[in-house]
Amino acid sequence: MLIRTTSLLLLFTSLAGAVCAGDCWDEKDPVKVTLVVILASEEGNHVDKRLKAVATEIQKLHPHLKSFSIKSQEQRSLKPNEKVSLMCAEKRKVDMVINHGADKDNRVSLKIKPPQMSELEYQSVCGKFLPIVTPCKTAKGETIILAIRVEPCRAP
Amino acid sequence: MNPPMPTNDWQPDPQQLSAYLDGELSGVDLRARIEAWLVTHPEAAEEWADLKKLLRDTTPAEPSEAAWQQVRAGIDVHRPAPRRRPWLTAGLIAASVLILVGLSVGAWRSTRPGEQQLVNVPRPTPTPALEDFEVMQVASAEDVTITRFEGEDTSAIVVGTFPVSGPLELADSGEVCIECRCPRINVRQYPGYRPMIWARAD
Repeated sequence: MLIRTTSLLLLFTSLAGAVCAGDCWDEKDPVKVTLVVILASEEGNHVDKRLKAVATEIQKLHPHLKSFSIKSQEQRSLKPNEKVSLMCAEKRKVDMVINHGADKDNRVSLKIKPPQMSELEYQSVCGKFLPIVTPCKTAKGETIILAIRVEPCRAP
Repeated sequence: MNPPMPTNDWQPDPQQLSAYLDGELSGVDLRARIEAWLVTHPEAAEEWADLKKLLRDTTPAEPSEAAWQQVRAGIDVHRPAPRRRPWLTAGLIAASVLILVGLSVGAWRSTRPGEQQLVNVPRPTPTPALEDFEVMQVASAEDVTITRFEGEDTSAIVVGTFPVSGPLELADSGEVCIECRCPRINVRQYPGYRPMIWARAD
């Protein structure tokens, strides 16, 4: 009897493991956050080829911004409720907290505090960037723009 | 140029005349003088021709090869045979073997590890074995994750995966839900537009 029960438990455990391999998730799992710091200038007309889509969207609202370049890119793995400060530009920082990992709707919830802006909270799909145009400018007068992405995504 | 005319009292000596008639006279001047002398003394030429004929008729013929062999055989019969000395051959062989053994032992001792060098001769640097080298392992792109990178020149990093590897893909309409009602922040998240946040210009 004991042997049969143990065998059944092992069988169910194995089946669960096989089914969940790569497809099971937990909202408490770490989230990989990517922060891209973009500098936009009113001078010139050079747009980094990686920023064409970003530049097109931002220029709809800020047509005076002509040039776009990547200042830095950073990726961190954060557990829920783990607060982190990421370097932005010229000693400015971005505070960030993951509320929870991907939920049943495949959304990640996070709070961010861009420099010289209020804290804001949002839910985002995985793998895509949300641009945030800050009021901060560098010493050269370039506008600091943040683009934030969260990962990983669940399998569809 | 005409050859000098011989004087009346000059005449070639018999060796000169013989060399001229045999065609062995090398001096041009002397040959011309003899030719001029023979013009005035044709009897001398005839006399020398007779002498040469006599010499030719009386000179014995070259011995044949058979005759030479017969002579050599006669010489060998009377020549004493060389003395056989077998001990000399054996001694030479033994000496050669001893020299070879000595050279081999010397070469072996000079190449033994830890052998004290009596002569200050620099040894050639031994070539390290292949297993003595430390093989440098090169990481692949998947082995290295770059967590932060400043600047645009990502091509400066040969190996590694960057946080951003291609064009930034923006979230579509409805894929971001911003829950901020901040007075100094504008939020665009209505249908048909990609979500965006920007600071309100004062």
